[in-house]
Amino acid sequence: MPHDGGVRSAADPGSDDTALSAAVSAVQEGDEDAFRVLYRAIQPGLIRYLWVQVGDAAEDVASETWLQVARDLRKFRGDAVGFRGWVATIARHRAVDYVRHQRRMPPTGGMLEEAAEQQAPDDTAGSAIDAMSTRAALALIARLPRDQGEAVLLRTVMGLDAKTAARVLGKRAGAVRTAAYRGLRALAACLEEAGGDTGAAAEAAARTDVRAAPGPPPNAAVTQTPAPALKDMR
Amino acid sequence: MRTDRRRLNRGAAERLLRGGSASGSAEPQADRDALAGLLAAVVAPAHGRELAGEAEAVTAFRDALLGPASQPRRPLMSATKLFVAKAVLAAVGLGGGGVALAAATGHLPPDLGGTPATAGPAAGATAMPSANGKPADHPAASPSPSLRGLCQAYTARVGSSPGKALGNPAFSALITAAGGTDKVAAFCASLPAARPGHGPTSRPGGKPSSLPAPANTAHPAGKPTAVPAGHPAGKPTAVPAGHPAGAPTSHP
Repeated sequence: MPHDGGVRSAADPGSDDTALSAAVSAVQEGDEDAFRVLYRAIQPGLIRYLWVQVGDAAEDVASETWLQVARDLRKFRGDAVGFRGWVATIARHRAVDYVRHQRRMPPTGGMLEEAAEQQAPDDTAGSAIDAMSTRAALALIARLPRDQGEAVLLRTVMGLDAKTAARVLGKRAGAVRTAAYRGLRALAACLEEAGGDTGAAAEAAARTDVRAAPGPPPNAAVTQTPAPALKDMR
Repeated sequence: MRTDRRRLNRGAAERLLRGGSASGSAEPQADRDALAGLLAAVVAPAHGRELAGEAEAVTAFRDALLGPASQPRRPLMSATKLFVAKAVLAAVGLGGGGVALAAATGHLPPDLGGTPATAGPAAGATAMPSANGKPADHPAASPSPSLRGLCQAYTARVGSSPGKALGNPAFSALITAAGGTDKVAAFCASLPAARPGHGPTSRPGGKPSSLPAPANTAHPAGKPTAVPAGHPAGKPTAVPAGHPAGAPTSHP
C-alpha cells in the first residue's frame, strides 16, 4: 500500500509522550479537554487492537473500556506509557469478557474474510483508501497466531514498549519481543508472496483460511486456535 | 524464499515496532518496505467512525467526576450500595446537615462524592427527618445532575423533533440509565429533582418504594428537622432496615 516506510502518523500514540503525560496528569484533576486529548490519541489504536480481538464488537468493547477508564481514573498512577498500558489492560479484560459471553452465542462469521474489501461507510473518499488499507493490514495481523498478533498490535497501535506490553499480557518482556519479531517475520513472508501488497495478502490469507478451516468466527483471536493461514510462515 | 534470513533481523524488527524505518543497513529493503507500509497502515490517522464514541466517553468522564452514584452503567448497583450504606450509617446515627444539603443539591466536592459511603449518610440524613408519615424522597438513588441535564435536553428536543431526539450519541448514557430508548420519557418524568416533593415513586427505576410506612408514621419526631444528628439512634434503623433489599435490584 502506498505508505512510506517508517512514517508514523497522527494515530501513532507514541508520537508525543510528553504532551500525553501532561494530559494524564490534567485528566486526573478533572480536565475534560485533557480527557478528549487522551481519547483521540488512544482510541484509534485501541479500536484497531480490539477489532483483531473481537471483530465488529470492537466499538462496543472500546466504549466499555472508556467507561471503566473514566470510572477508575483516580486509581491510575503513571505517565503516558503507563496510561496506554493501563487502558490496554482494561481493554483486554473487556475483550476476554466479551468473547466469554459470545461463546454462548452462535458465531456470526465472515467478517475477516470480507475485511480486505471493507470500508467504513461514512468515510470521506480521501480517507477511505487509508481505512481500507488499515483494515487489510489488521485482517492480516488477525491471521497471526494470537500471541504474535497481540504482541505486534500492543507494540504498534497501542504504542507500548516491550516491558509494558509484557505487563499487559502477563508475560516476560523477552517473550513479547520474540512473539512480535516472529509476527513481523510472518507478515513479511506473507507480503512477499503477495508482491508487497497488503490488501492482496489479506485476501490471499482469507482465501487460504477459508480452504483450510471453514468459517472461524471473526472474534476467534482471543480464544481459539489461531487461523492457520499465517501460522507456519516463520 | 523462506530460507532467506537476511530480510528481517531482530534489530530491524524492533525499529519497525517503534515506528522507525527498518533501513540503516545495506540489507535488501523490499520486504521490509512492504512490512513498514503495512505497519504504517495499522497506525494510520483515525478514520471517521473510529472516534465516534468520544461523546459517550466524555459523558462517562463527567459522570465519574460527579461520583459513583451517577454512573449510568450501573444505576442499580449504585442504588443498592447507597441504600446499604444509608442503612449502616443511619444505624449509628451519623449524618450532617451540611453534607446532606450538598448531596441533595448535587454539589458534593469530588472527595466527598467519590464513594458511596460518604454519599450515604447524606442521603440518610435527609431522608430520615421527614416523619410526617410520608416517606422521604431518596436523594441517594437520584440520578446525577448530568442525567437531569440530559433529561432537560431530551425534553427540549422532543418538542422540536420527537423522532430524532434520542439519535444523538450524547443521550446514550441517558438511554442506558433509563433501560431503553422507549423508557427515557418515563425515566425523565420520574426524576426526583425534576418534580421535587414526590415520594419514593420518583426513584429512577420507576418502581414504587416499599419503604414501610409504619416505620415512618411511628417515628417520634413530629416535625421534620433539618439536622437529624440528635435523632434517637434506635429509630432510624427501622427505616432502611425495613426497606426490602430486593427492591432496587429488581429494576430492569
